[in-house]
Amino acid sequence: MNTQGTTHWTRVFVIVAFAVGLLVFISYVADLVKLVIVAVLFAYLLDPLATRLESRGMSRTLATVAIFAGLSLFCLSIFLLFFPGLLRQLEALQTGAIFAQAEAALGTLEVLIEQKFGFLGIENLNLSAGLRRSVDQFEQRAFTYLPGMLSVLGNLVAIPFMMFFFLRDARSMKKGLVNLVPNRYFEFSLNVLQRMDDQLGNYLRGQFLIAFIVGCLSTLALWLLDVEFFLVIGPIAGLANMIPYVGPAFGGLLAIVASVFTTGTFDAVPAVIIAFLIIQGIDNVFLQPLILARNVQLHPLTLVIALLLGGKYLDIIGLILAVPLAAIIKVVLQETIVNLRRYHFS
Amino acid sequence: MHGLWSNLFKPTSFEQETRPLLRRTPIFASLSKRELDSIERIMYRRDYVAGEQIFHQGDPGIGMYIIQHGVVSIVQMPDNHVLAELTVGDFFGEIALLNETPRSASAIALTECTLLGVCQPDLLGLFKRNAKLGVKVLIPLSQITGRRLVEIDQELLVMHHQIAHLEAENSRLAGQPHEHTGNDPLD
Repeated sequence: MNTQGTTHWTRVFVIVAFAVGLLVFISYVADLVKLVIVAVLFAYLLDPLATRLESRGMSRTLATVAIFAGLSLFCLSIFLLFFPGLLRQLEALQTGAIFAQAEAALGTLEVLIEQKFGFLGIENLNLSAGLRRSVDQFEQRAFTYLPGMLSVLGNLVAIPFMMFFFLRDARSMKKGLVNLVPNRYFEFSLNVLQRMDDQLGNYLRGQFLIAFIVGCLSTLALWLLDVEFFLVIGPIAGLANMIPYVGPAFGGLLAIVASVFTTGTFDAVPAVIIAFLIIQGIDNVFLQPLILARNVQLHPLTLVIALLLGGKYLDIIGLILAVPLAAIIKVVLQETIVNLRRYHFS
Repeated sequence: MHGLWSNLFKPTSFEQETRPLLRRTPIFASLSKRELDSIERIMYRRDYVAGEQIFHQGDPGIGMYIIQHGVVSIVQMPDNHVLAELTVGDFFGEIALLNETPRSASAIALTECTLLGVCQPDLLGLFKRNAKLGVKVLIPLSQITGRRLVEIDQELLVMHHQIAHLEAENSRLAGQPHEHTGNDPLD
């Protein structure tokens, strides 16, 4: 083996060791990484809005403050508008009225199963006792969740705080990063960054816009169908819609469970299923083709691996961010490889 | 107290060096102080050692450079024909600001150099935010490009006449009457 070959393998070894080290480091600081990813992503999504405000004569700082003021106002009005409903739903959860209805629904289901499947030897299912045990356990564990709740509140402060600075200083941060690049890769890095921005900008903004629309439609549909917790389930269905294949089904399932448990009957189930099928139809026929015209194509296998990895390392946020992150990694690799072929490095 | 006062109002390196340099660059000559500040914010300051390649002929062009210190050689491959030697205040690669075309020649630092790089996406982003500034930059840029086009046209015309003359000479020497094709590339 000649010296050049040895140098090549040394480089490969260093790169692999660096990548492994980085992964280990990320897994240790996963919580912080999650927050930074969410803040960067939201700042990136809002960047065109800030640019538009700048074109009207505002400074970047003023544009960022205006966006944050607008967002705060939006969140506050949503909160005030839906607060009475949300409070009622939370009270229902606290008083256990929901569980009483759930027990009734399970009783109906139990009788139905025993009647239809009695020939299989199914009897004395006692589903209600199972539910009661789960509720008791949940109530006991709720106290242990308290520190977790506090950290969620901390995140709710930390994410907007980081987002503000990422949004305001995005350009100087990019410049600072590019300044670290050696001369020979300077133009190459600028080109790769530009192409990534071209491809990812529309895709990511489209994904979040679709999630927002699906969330609104789901909330509206569940409100029309008198399903309790529509204010909680609707937004969750919107976010879950970003998870391919299982996401939309999860949203629908959640709505069905809520409908059965709160009414104690299966009467509203067909309507909920139809509503979610219509929303999926709107998503696939209108929203996806219109908004994601320049889609980043991801193979189903890539998606499944991304979802598994996202779920493993970054929990629920990881599941939601798995697809955008997979798209980012794909575009970064793709553009780097394509551009490596176009440039001569001396 | 006097020291603090003079320190507070001491001109920065941008005011002392970069701003006058930008003012001397025809593309940015008509910009106001504030507009020059926004150009400076998107500029990359790069230091090169003697002999270092700035860009390679055939690579996709992404922006232009202004020389702050040093000498840069513009070389055409494959015979390393030196097209120009540029020095402080000169600029090169400006066509890449208009279009992502492959570099028509290589640029090499002849001495230690400090260059100010402006890349096309950043400049277009700035134009989006400040259309007036965009017009002020694009007009001189298109004038420079137009002037280059006229110069190239004239060079082509001279070359065409030379070729026609050589063809006529060749035909005369071969004893055959010369037939001009009439396909004048500049028509």
